[in-house]
Amino acid sequence: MRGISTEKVQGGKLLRVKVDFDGKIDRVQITGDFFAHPEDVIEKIESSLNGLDVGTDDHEMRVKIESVISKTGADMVGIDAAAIARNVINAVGGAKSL
Amino acid sequence: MTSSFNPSGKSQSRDDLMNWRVIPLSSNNAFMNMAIDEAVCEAVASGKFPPTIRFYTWLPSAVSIGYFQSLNDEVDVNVAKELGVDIVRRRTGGGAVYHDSKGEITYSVVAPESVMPKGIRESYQLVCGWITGSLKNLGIVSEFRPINDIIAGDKKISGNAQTRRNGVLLQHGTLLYDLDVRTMFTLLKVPKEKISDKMIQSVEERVTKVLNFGSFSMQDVSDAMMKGFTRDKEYEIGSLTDEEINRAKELAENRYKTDEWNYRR
Repeated sequence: MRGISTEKVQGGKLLRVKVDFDGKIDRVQITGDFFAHPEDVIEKIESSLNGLDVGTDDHEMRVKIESVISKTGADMVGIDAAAIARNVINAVGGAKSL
Repeated sequence: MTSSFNPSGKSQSRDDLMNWRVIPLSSNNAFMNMAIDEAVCEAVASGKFPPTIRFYTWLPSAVSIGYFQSLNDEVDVNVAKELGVDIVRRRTGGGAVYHDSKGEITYSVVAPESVMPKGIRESYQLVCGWITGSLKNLGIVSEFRPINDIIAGDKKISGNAQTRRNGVLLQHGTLLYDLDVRTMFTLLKVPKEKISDKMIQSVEERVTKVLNFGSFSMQDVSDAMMKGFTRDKEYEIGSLTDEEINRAKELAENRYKTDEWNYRR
């Protein structure tokens, strides 16, 4: 299954999350016109979500993403952990079969 | 203006490094423009080169996409091919931009992080202040609108993007001189049915250009930017070194022209 969720984050930037999953998350791709330094934090967040159960709740997913951001010491402008978590869940919820 | 820049290979003192190198307006293709910005970042990071301001245009016209954007989501590749418009992924975040070869001037600022404000918002504000100063030189009142825009007459006239790597800050951005909304919308992926007069009118209500404020030439704008960016700075008009040009050619071929880079998302 693949789902896509897009949001113009309030006071921020456009965020689009694509999720491939089959019971568990196989692949997440985070795109948009936001800023993040160092840039590889986004790839680290994507990797950190692989293998996660699709039923993972918003809070747990947000904490996981926040932990990656904190470990990387990244500065994100225009999006945040809550927006990414929200859109991963929305993408899964609105997914269609590939 | 003072004489200061000596790319001799010797590390410069902090005082020397605060003497800026300013590279006047030139045209390059999209791949070289992005490669030059990166080559200058490497040169400044080495400690052998001073902070650098460069002005440039894009020839042929091009679309640049933000580091985190998906090329296929943002650009109609077939239309770009038909129009002879290059497409390149930037090292900086932000959105997709249509760079008309005669419709805008782009600048880049490359400086050690140590001489710039630490906060992203504060450093945007500083460099964007040089753009509002440039516009003021043309008699155009504008202001910085966080996160990364400059507005004039309540409409966007300049977009800017920044990244920091290896202790060096890169900020580049564009100042809109002219704007071909219809071409922009055929290139950027907006559903075709939305490219109606209403849509174009709507964008023109949100975006403006220098020509809306008077009959300025590109040279007038270039001169105003040179004055606005160098105000209160010690600087020297300079050029790229052979080392930077060769490195840029390498980066253009091995990164910025490659599908691996441009289609990575």
